[in-house]
Amino acid sequence: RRVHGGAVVGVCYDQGVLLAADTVGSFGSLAKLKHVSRVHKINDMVAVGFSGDLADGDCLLNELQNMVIDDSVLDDGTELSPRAVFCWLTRVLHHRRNKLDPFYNQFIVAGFDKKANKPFMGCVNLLGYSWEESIIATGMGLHFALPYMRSQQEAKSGVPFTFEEAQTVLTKSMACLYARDCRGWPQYQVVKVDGAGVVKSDVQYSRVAFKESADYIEGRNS
Amino acid sequence: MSMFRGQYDNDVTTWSPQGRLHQVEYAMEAVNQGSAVVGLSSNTHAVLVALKRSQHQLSDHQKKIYQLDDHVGFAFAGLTADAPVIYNYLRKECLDYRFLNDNSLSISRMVRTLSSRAQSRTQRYGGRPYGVGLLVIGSDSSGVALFQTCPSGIEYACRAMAIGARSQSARTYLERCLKQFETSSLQDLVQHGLRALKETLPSDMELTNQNVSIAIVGIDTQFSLNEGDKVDIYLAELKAAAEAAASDDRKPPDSAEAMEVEST
Repeated sequence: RRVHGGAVVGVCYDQGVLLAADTVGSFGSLAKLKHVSRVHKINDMVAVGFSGDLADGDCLLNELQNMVIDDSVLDDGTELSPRAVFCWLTRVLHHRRNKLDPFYNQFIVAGFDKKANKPFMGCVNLLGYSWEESIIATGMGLHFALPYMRSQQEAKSGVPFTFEEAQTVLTKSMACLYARDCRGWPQYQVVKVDGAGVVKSDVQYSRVAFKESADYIEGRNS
Repeated sequence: MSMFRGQYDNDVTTWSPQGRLHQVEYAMEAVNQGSAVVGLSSNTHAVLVALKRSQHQLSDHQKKIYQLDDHVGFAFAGLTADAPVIYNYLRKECLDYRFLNDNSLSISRMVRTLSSRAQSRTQRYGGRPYGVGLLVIGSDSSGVALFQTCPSGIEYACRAMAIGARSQSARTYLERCLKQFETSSLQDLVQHGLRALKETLPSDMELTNQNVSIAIVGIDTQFSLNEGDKVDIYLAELKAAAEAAASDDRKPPDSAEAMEVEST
């Protein structure tokens, strides 16, 4: 049993990407660490979020951060692009999968592709399998968040979300995850990536109303 | 250059009392022994024009230009045997970068890693520096680039450059026409390169499609190497221009302006 993180949820909108993950590090069913950051800015173009083993995730994050430092040391105008981070993670995760010693994570890479002037989002899992999508959810989010996100996206009939719509989808997904996932947690962080850069929010809170069982509940969250 | 330097030139890790590394300087001299290579760049394209030598009538002309990736290649002058060593290393660097990052390696990064290697060979006992200088042309996210590298490990970003035997004549031509290159068309750029290369020829030699190599890369143009029949079109244009301008062909258009000293 190791300390692991729950779902990461990502939504693309017309101008950028939003990534959210709760701040709990679970030890099985124990909420062991309560202020874990699972979404991170990499550089001005890219952010990543990861679920799964926190030690493995932090290890890869550290590698990525070192690569960013290397870029700034060389100081030649070249920066890691979202696609480069995505490709690198895929290659590393796949390599470890081939050695039957995986980094036990699912990563979401969110970025703004300055060349194409479009948002970019991709997911890589512990098998080294990767895909690009405009809505992604890992872990329990696959079951609780993704169907809801899909229905919202299909209702738009191919038109990208606006920023407000994406925020709503994200907030509701995180609230759903807190309500339905046994290992869920009401505090989460959001990272916004767009043409202007990467901004990480303060901790936000899911507000969930348990309407049906409100009468029976006593305690802090009622 | 034929001065006897005595006890300070036996290995690369020995300084001379004048603060020089003679072995490194001798390695730079090896570059001057190779046949001439000319490189030049505009805002949109970069071009390499190289003179290929053949040992004697029976052998092929020696390859002077190597392609490294879709977006980059180099021409070398110096010890022929050292070129494939550098080629193999850079080729692998480009390929590894592409595999890991799903993108082409930027030219300045690539040249820097090579220069780093070249420099370390000037600081290590028991080995010798590379015996080749390169002219690297390429295109990446910051545009087109031309770089010169030396056995000393120094890299130079250039607008135009020539290295190898009798390259000073080519450099003189390039200096005279320097202002034209930035906005030159691709065709004109190649013609400038050929005229610069022509300056390095001994009197009994001509540019033919056997002894000339032309490489081209641009912002939206992949690296391409032209040899044999493919250079005929460029040589024909060179010949036509020479015949049309007769004896005035050798004087570049704005030589007077280029030599003016600006006064405030």
